[in-house]
Formats: sequence, C-alpha cells, structure tokens
Amino acid sequence: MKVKFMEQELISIPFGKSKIDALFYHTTAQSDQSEKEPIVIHVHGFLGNFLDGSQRFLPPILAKAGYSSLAINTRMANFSLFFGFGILEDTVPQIDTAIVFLKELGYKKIILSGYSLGGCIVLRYAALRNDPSSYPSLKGVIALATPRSMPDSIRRRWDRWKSEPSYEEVYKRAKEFLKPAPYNASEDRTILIYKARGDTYRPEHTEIYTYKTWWFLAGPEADGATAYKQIEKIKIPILLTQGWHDDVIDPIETFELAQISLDAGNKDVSAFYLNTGHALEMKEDELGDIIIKWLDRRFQK
Amino acid sequence: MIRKNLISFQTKDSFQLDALLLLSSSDNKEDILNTPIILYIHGVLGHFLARGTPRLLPQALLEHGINSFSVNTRMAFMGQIMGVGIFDDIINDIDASLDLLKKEGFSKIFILGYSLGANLVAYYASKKSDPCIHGLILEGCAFSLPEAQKKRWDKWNSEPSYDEVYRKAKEILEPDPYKSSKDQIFIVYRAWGPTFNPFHIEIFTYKTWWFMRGPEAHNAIAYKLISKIKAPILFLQGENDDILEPWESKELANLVREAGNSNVTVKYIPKAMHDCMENPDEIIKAIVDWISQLT
Repeated sequence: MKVKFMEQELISIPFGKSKIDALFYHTTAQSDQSEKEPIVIHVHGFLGNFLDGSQRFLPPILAKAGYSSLAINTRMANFSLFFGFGILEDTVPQIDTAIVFLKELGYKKIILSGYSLGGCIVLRYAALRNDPSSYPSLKGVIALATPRSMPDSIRRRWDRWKSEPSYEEVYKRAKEFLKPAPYNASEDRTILIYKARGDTYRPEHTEIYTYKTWWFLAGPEADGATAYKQIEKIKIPILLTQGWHDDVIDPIETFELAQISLDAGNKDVSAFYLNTGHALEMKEDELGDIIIKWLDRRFQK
Repeated sequence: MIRKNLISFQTKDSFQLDALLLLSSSDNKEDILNTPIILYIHGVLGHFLARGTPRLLPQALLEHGINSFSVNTRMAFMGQIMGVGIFDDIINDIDASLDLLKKEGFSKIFILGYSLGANLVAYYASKKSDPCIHGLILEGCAFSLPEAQKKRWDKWNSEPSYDEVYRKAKEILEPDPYKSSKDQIFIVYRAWGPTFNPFHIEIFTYKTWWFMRGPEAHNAIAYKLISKIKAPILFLQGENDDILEPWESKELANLVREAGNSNVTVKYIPKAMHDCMENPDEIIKAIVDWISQLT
C-alpha cells in the first residue's frame, strides 16, 4: 500500500454563518530565513475540491521553493452545482474572506491561482478587485487550463455531442423558470444533461445543474464565467498555462486570453503550454517550475 | 497540541482514498499506538469535513484521549451520483483503512459509522470478524435502507416512484447489475419533501441505487445481517431522529442479542435528531464511557 503523509493543516475560515474549508500549506523550506512572499491561494475546478488536481499537487511543489499556499473549497466545490448553492458570483466574497484571513496572518502579497473553472473564478475576482489602491495585496493571477468563455465552451461541447436537452432548450426553460430575477428566484430545479461530455448516456458523459447554478456558470448571460470579458480588466501580472493536448478546452483559448489581455494594455502577461492534457497530468513538476520561476522573477528581486 | 495528518492510500482494487488522522500529541509512540483510535465512516454524500458528527466528533473525542482516522470512502462526495459509490465495494475501503492502522501499529481500533456509514460498517462487520476491531459504534443505523427509502418516497409521492425506478434499473442493468457496463444518472423529485426544489431531490445512478436502496440491496438491509456480528456494538440514535423510526436501533440490538452477542448497548441521545452531535455532551459521554469499559 502506498502511503503518503501530507503536512498540510486543515483549517476552517469563518464566513458569515458558514465557513470556508481550506488546506493551509505553510512552507518550512525557508526555516533559516524569512518565508518568501507571495502566498498562493488555489481554487479548484468543476465539481472539484482541495483534495484533487493542481490544488493538491502544486502546494507541496511550491513549498519546496519557499512559497506557502492556501487551497480553498469555494461555494462551487463538490456537488454544489447539483443542489443550487454553487453560484459563481458567490465565490467573490469568499475569496475576499480568504485574503483577509491571510493578511491577518501577516501576508502582504497574494497570488490567486485557479484551475479550469477555478481559472474563471480567479479572473472574475481579479477583474472585480482591479483597483490596486483598494486591493494592494493582490499581486498576480495564475489561470490554468482556463476556458476563454465557460458558457461558449459548454455550449460547443453540448452541441458537439447532441446533448439531451440541448443548450437552447435549457436556456429557454431556465429563463422561464427564473424570471424576472434569476439570482433572487425562490424556485429552482435540478436538471440532468445527457450526452454533455460524450456520446453515451453513461454517468461520465452526463452533467447536472440546477437552473440557477447553470444560469450563472453556463448560461449565455453568465458574464462572470466569460473569462475574456474579465481578463481585459486586469492589470496585475497574469500567468496562463494549458496542456497542448487539452481535449476539454481548445488550446487556442489560452493564446486568445493572453492576446486579449495584452491588447487591453496589460504589460505582464505570460502564456505557457505543456505537453499534456486538461488535467496537466504527468507534468506536475514542470508546471511547478514554470510557476516558481514566474514568481521568483517578479517577487524575489 | 493536536497532530492532524492528511493521508492518501489505495485500496486493493486501486481506488484512491483520502483520510484525516487526528492524534493527540505525545512523544511516546507506544502511548499513541495504545490509545483507542476510531475509524470513522461518513454518511450519504458525506466526507470527513461534513457538518455534525463527521466534522465535530473526532475533535471532541480527542480531548478525551481518543484518536481518530476519518476516511473519505468511494461513497464520499458524489460517489453515489457518478456511479463509483457501490455499497458492496466499501468492504475494500474499510479493509484498506484497517490494514493501514494495523500496519502502523494501532492496537485498539474501533469503527464508527454515521447514518449510511453505520449501515456500511454493519455490512462490513457481518462479513469480517477481524479480532483487531475492539467494537463498533453505529450512529443512526437504518433497519433497512431500501425499505426506509421506499416508505419515504411513497410518503411524498416521489417522481418517479420507487417501483418505477426499480423497473427501469432492472431493465438497464440486466442481466448482472454488478457487472453491467450500462448505467445512467437519474433524479428523484419529491424524495425528501413535497416540492420539486433541489433540497427535496435525490440523485443516484441505477447501479449505485441498486446496491444501496433497491429491493435486492441485501447488504444494505441491516436486520438481515446484523446478527452475524460478534464484536461489541454501541447503537446511538437521536431521541428526536427525523430520519429513522424510534424503534430501529432497539430492534437491531435485539436481533444481535438473540443471536448470542450480549455485548450490545443502545443509547438514545436526548435533544438530538439524526445527528447525535446536536447534543455533544451526551454522545461524547456515551462513547467515552463505552470505550473505557472495553479497553
């Protein structure tokens, strides 16, 4: 049996009447000197949490280089999309709270990193908090395998596989169901989309939402999940990375996001491709090296 | 000072599990290994951070010198929704968890199952009588998961009905539900209450439902297998349990006793519903007293 003892500390950050669960990885690599800043906040992808993917494998790699991490479970974690409480816009005050928590611990420089849907979340956040005089601690954004637009990406995928129901059908029903104000609608309904990710009715090809969670993540009016509309508002350093063989999001999307950001006047935009797929599998160390160099060059002068 | 460790390990069928190990701090390894440790198994859609018992009890018992190992099984999070959470396969998860604890040298191992977890633990212990298990704590163990669900769905006029789901499941999974390569997610509206809102639905795949809630889910019918358990058992149930009937723990205990296992205790926790951590003082006292009698 392969046993791996992790050193992260599980914490709960108070958030109103609720809490934000997080894994705090405090580096010990710099014990003979002061800890490096910035600290990195990691945000999971679709149906994810801090136990999986890049938010699990990156913190130990970054810690070896002297960077601490906080991997958080947002409102979008796990199955929240299925039961109606995973509204993308509601992650913004959660990230605010995580940042305040880190500042209270003494951190002054913070990087937001998100994987896939998490990339959309951190870009949305950074676009809304793009005034350095009000949010001086936010120093950069890392978006991994991030779609140019989550709604467009989902629509293309559903069209490709001839989903049941179709994107248009779901949109029509959601509009009808959630009118006049989707965010405040008191009624909601869980829906299944068969053949959303492949050509069978099997579970791995099925997606589940409520009309409300779909509206704010995948609907044509979900501006918060439309990364290209967010990235042009961000002026702090941005690092984009994607697998060249990503079969979920077209690799061109990272290039396009970078171009939009450059065209909007951001002087510090970097984009890298790795020879892997959407989950960045088997390239964990390479990805870690890219991020560490990106951090070192900007913050360790 | 408390030591918390996040641990990842694999089952023999190559399923990756995560677990949280909580140990009271001691420099003496022998002391740690001789301290009682509880292996926790979560409930429906649960995990080791889920509210109530899974999240709060391990920490609370640590203050009484009882360590914990809380495992996210294959039924954690979306296991039952995405098709990987097959009730019968949990035996591999508990095996791997116990193997890990034994390999580390823990000598006083107890298992606590909460809600669905209690039924999983009852199933496990009915199949395996490992002498390393000092006792079982079954909190909110259903007399029969299939029958409880049928009754609930009938009560709320679920859509589809229990019988409709059964028919469809048979059709999709035939001839061998376990080996069937076909499976499909389905939603049952009005499963928990009278509305179509998300908080009243249930979601399964036909296969996960078949082995957890279908009429042929024999391993989820506790009253059929509980009499095979030879280890000491503490049944816990909230006095105001809103999911189980008040008699369920008592009747299960009677079946165990009738089969010759006299080391059975039933404790109804006052001022608690399905989650006994609604009355932390009482549940902690019940567990601490019971474990101290056995160690």
